[in-house]
Amino acid sequence: MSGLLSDRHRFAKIVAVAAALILLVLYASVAGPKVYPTFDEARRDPAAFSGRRIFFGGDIVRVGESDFSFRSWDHIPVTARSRIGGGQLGYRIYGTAVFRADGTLDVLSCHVYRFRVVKNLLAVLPLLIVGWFFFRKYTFDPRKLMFRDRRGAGEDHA
Amino acid sequence: MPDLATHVLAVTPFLRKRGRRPELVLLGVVLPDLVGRISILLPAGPFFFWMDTALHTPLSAALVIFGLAMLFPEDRRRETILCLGFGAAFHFALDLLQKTVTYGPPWLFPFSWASFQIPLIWGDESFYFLPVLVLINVLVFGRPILAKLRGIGRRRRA
Repeated sequence: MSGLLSDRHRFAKIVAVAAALILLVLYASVAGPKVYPTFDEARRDPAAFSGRRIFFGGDIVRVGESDFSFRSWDHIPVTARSRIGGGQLGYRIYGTAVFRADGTLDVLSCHVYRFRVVKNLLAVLPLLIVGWFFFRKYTFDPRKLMFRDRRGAGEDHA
Repeated sequence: MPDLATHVLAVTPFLRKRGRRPELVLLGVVLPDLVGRISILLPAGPFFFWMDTALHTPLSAALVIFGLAMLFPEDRRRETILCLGFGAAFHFALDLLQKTVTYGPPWLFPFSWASFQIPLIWGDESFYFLPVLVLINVLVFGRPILAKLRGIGRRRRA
């Protein structure tokens, strides 16, 4: 067994993995907005972001003839100029747009996620099935921090 | 990303031939979404968005797979990594086929934010394929399951 996969410093390796994942998330939250500015970042400094391409997302709260409004992550209603058609109220929308200094958007591209709820509901059943498949075969020993075969529950694999 | 039912049903026909540790391959298939969705524990907002982005990447999946493998007995870790890795790779292969209006997963994160997609279907509309996938699974698994049930029936009669 190679050193990396051995039991040596096993707990330290698990902690290192968790720490690396936390660092990746922190890095993304710091560096990501610089690469892909979002509406919320643009709203905090409208002058700097005026005329720039940004990403937006939120729930549609109003649909007009040639524009619509959505509620951004900061719960602020935002007006965006684009035709998205009727029957889209309440659905989530994501897109790219040119930010204007008055806080409105000129939409470049967008997609209304009409089946987002269906998709989330469809995710529950596979999770239950996969969980059942997995825990039918393995049991977790919290004292040893180890999965063990259910069949050989009396054996010590570690 | 396509819904989890599509992810799971797309990989199951391949598990009949591979035969080994299907429960781990299935866990690998749902793992990238499962890890990325830890962010639903947080209120919706920019940090939620970047956490999801950072955790739904091949590097994060590889780290989680390594961490999970350390929870298995030493002599099974290599096989665990291979099975979970196969599942996760299959998941990302399907994610590659989806349309994105903002941007797709940054495959090389944290080294690059660039993404590459083969835009065929919107993530929330992937369940259109479910009837086809269910049919394929019935064709693949239907006959062996029927044969098994007949065998049980014969043994009971005998």
